[in-house]
Amino acid sequence: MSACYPESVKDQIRQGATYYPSDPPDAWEALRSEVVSLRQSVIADLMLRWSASAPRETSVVTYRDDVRDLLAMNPEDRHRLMTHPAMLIWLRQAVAKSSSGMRAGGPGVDAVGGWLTDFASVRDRCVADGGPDGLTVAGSVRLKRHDVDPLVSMVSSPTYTFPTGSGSSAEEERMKACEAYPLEFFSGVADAALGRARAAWPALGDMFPRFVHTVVHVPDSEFRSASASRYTGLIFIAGDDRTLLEVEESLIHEFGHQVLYWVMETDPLFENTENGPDFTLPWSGSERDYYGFYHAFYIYTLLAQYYARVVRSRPETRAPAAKRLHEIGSGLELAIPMILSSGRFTPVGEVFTQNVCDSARAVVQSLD
Amino acid sequence: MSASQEESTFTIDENSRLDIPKGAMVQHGLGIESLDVDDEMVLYDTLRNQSYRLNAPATEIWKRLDRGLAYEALVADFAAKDDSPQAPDGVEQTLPDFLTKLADRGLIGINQPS
Repeated sequence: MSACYPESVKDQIRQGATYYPSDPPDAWEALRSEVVSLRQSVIADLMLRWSASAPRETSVVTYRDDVRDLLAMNPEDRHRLMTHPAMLIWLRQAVAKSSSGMRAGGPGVDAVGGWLTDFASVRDRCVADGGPDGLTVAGSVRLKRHDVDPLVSMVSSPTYTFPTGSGSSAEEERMKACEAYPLEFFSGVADAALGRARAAWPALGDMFPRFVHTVVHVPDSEFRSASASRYTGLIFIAGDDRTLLEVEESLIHEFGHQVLYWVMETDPLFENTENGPDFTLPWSGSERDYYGFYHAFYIYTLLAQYYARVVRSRPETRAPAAKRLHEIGSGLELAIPMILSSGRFTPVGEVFTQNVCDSARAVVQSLD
Repeated sequence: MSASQEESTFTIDENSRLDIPKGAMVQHGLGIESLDVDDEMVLYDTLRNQSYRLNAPATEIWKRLDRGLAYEALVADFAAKDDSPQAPDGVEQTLPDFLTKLADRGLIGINQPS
C-alpha cells in the first residue's frame, strides 16, 4: 500500500516553504487547497452547530438546505466561490455572530439567523460575479471601481469609504477625481504591469490571479495601495504611481499580503497581539505593530526577489530597479534581527519565519 | 476563521498509544454529528461543543467505525483493502494512535469485552 498522506501546509513549511513564487508550484497549490478546505469546513461546522441547537428554526433549516446544495456543487465552482471576497466576509461575520450567539447567556440563534438566511443570496451574487461581464486583468482578476458587493463596502472602512450617492459637495469632489481617466484605461495599465511582472517572474504571473480575486481602482483614495484581512482577496489600487515599474510594485506588494493572509489562515504564526505602533519600518519610516511589521517584512522580501529578477532581465528599467533593490535590501538587513527577536512564534511560525529570513538573507548577501 | 471555531485537524502520524483489549468494540461516541466535505469530514461534538476536521485518511477510518467493529476486525478490514486509495499506510501502526486521539476527546467509545 502506498503512502497517501496529503502534503499539508505545516509539513511543507517544515520542509522550507515560504509560498513565494520561488517555491515549487505544488506548494502554493497545496496552500490554496488546504485553505479552501478549511473554509468549507467552517461553513459545514456552522450548519452542524446550529442544526444541533436550533434544528427547527427557519433560518437554520434554510441554511442546512443551502449548505447541502453547496456541497453538491461542482468542486471547481465551489472552490471558486470559496475565494470570493464577499463570501469570505460573509463567513467571518457569520462565525463571529455564531460565536456570540452560542455564548452562555447569549442571544442564541437570533444573533446569526439573518446571516444564515443571507447565505444563498451572497452565494448567488458571488456566482454572478464570475460571469463574462465586467472588466478583468491578468485574464481572470475582476477589476472594479465603486460597483463592489455590498458586503465589501460594509467592511472596507477605514481603508476606503465607498461613495453613498448622497450628492454632497465632498462626494462630488471625489467623483471628479475618479473621472480623471476611465477604468478601462487603468485596465490597460494594470494588464501591462502584470504582463511585465510575468515576463520577469513567470511563477508570480501564475500565482497572482489565484490569490488576488478583485482589484478595486480608487483614484480618490488617500493611499497608494491597500489590503486588509477582513476583505481577503480584494486589493485597492489608487493609481498614484508615476511609472509602470511603480504600478508593478503596488500590485505585487498587495499580492504579497494576500498570500500571507492565506498562510495565516492555517496557522497564526505568532502570538504578538499588541496594537501599539512599536516598530518603525526601515523602508518607509512608518510605525506599525508587530503584525504590520511582519507583513511588511514578508512583502519586502518578496519585492527584493522581484527587483533582483527585473535587474537581471529588463535592461530598460535596470537602474531604477537596482536602486529600489538596494533600498529594500538595506531595510531587510535591519529588519531580520528585529523580526526574530520580537516574535513570539508558534512552532510552525518559528520555522516559517526562519524560511522567510533565509530568503531575505539571500537577497542581502547578493547585494554585497 | 478557524481559531474562533475551536476546530482541530486530526492526522494519524503522531505518537501516542491506546491499549485496546482484544475483542474490544470500537464505535462512535454519543452526540457526535458529522458532515462530509469532499474527502474530509467535519465532526461536531454536541455534548462538549467542540468541532473537529478530519483529513481524508482519518475520515476513511471514521467511516469504518459506523458499523461498530471489533478492533481486530477494523485492522483486518483496512489490511484487506490494500487497493483503497484513501487507506492509510501502515495501518497496524497508525490506527491505535488515531483511536487514542479520538478516545481522549470522547469521540469514540471502546467497549471492553465481557
